[in-house]
Amino acid sequence: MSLLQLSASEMRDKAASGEVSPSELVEASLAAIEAHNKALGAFISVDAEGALARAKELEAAQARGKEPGPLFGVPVGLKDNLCLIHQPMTCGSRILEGYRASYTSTAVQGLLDAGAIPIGRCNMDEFAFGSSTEHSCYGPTRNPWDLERIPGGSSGGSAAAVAARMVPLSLGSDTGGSIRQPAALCGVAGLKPTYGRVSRFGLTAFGSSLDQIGPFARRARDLSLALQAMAGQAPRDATTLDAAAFPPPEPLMDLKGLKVGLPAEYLGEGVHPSIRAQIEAAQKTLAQLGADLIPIQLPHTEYAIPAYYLVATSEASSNLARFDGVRYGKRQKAGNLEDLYLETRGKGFGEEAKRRILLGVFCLSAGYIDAYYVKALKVRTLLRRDFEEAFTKVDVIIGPTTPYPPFRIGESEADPMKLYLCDLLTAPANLAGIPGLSVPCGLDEDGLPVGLQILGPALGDARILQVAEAFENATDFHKQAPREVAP
Amino acid sequence: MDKAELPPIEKLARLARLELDPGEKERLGTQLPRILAYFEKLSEVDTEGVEASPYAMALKDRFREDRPADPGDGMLRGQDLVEQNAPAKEDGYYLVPPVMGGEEA
Repeated sequence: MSLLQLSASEMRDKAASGEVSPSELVEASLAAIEAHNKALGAFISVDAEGALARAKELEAAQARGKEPGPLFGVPVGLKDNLCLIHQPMTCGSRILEGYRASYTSTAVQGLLDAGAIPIGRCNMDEFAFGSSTEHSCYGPTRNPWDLERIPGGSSGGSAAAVAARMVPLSLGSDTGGSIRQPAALCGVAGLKPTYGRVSRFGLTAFGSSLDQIGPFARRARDLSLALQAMAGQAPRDATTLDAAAFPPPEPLMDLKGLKVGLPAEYLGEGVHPSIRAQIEAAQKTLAQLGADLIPIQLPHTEYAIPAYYLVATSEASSNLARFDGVRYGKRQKAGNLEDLYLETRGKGFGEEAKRRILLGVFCLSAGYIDAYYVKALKVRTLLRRDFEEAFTKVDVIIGPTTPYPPFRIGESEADPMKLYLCDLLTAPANLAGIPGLSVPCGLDEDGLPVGLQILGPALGDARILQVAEAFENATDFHKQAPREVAP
Repeated sequence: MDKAELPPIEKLARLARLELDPGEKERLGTQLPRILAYFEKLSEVDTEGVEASPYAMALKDRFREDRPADPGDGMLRGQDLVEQNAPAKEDGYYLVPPVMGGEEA
């Protein structure tokens, strides 16, 4: 069996016991990237030299008797919006050409402290603006299950890298579904933690009140290990919570007595029939494990997309003001300072970034801020209350992660709204701050993966991970692999 | 909710400090009003008396002493930042073209 069929925790155990070395794991990962990245575009850049050097350091420390960490020797992919000191970070944008990070993000430092080895930087929609990973200045990432289709986004490179067995673990960021949606479309597991669980220090800000860093893996257990390594109240992110630390939960033998909410709004007309079929089958599996299925309502769901896009574009337009060509990045020549801003930003940002900045600038402008931004924040309160009300009756909520299967590349180009609607079932969790994950729950009629979304109450990350693990243990979906890389 | 009156795309782009090419002006100029019209859907929701949530979680202000802290290892600071990333620099300072007028820099 190839080393890359192992989960992250299996790799770690083999490396810790000396059965394989971190160098061998890194070499296997580099070989897989070499074999598949040209077709997939999952990685923007690969740091082979740095990864091999770090593997040697870990081996030397182990030889000195240092206890191997919980991710010892595990090769990881990092979404290219996370800082690692002195390393390039592009955010998939021309405007950050030549940039090198001046510090390391807290989340990445957590993985490093646990013994993980960063292999390279994963492709993404420019500044995480998108649900398809088509909007990267480095070209699209392709879905390993069907190269003509999108992998989802914006963390599409991180999802494809795990699906194609290039790495067992990767990091992404989720502002409106950017971890869960590509996880679903690529047939892997992906977790968006509770807002405030993982420090955002060193994550390039998109929507500061919505963004969370989270992991992709093929097993729920690996998501737990990664979250443990990253979570915690952190001095450099004032929005991290007192109770942010995360001890991984014990596995559950069954789900007896677990109350699972089925929101009517999540299986409405907009959901593709073949996705609906897989979700209904997943409901049966959970019932067989002893869970009680309880119909619930989340009545404001239909307003989540306009509320989300108003909040997200407003925050993004403000956050992206820092990219002005003065302190870092690619500067355009200009005769005066204002022209320098106009030219640098005009040539540096792609069209989707411009679309969102313009929307945000308008929604925050005098005379419109109450009608748009503040109105959206009020609707956000109602969406949050929907969940609070639901979680007085149920322990977790399940539904599809995405309303439809992955588009063909280029299909949504002319109609940005079509792509925005992809986030229908994922954006509510970001607006409410609650944790959510996606696990594979089967293939649709075209052989493309379908994701089961599991949502929990704030700080209920352990609970949804337990349910995901129990579901995994009762099914074989996590073993399914795209043809090219099947065991 | 008031009906949106989007200013001309050139004006909005100027406010956002974005140079747009003719194709972008045309595409964004037609798409933005349509997207905004979709956002109008929120006017169906009665939000009378509902408080706004800039953040989903109840966050506490956290205070620290107003003193420079040692950022520790692994963080560039001061002129090292300029050295590593500035597109134009001189003697450890960022260089920019004149604020008003001026020649091509």
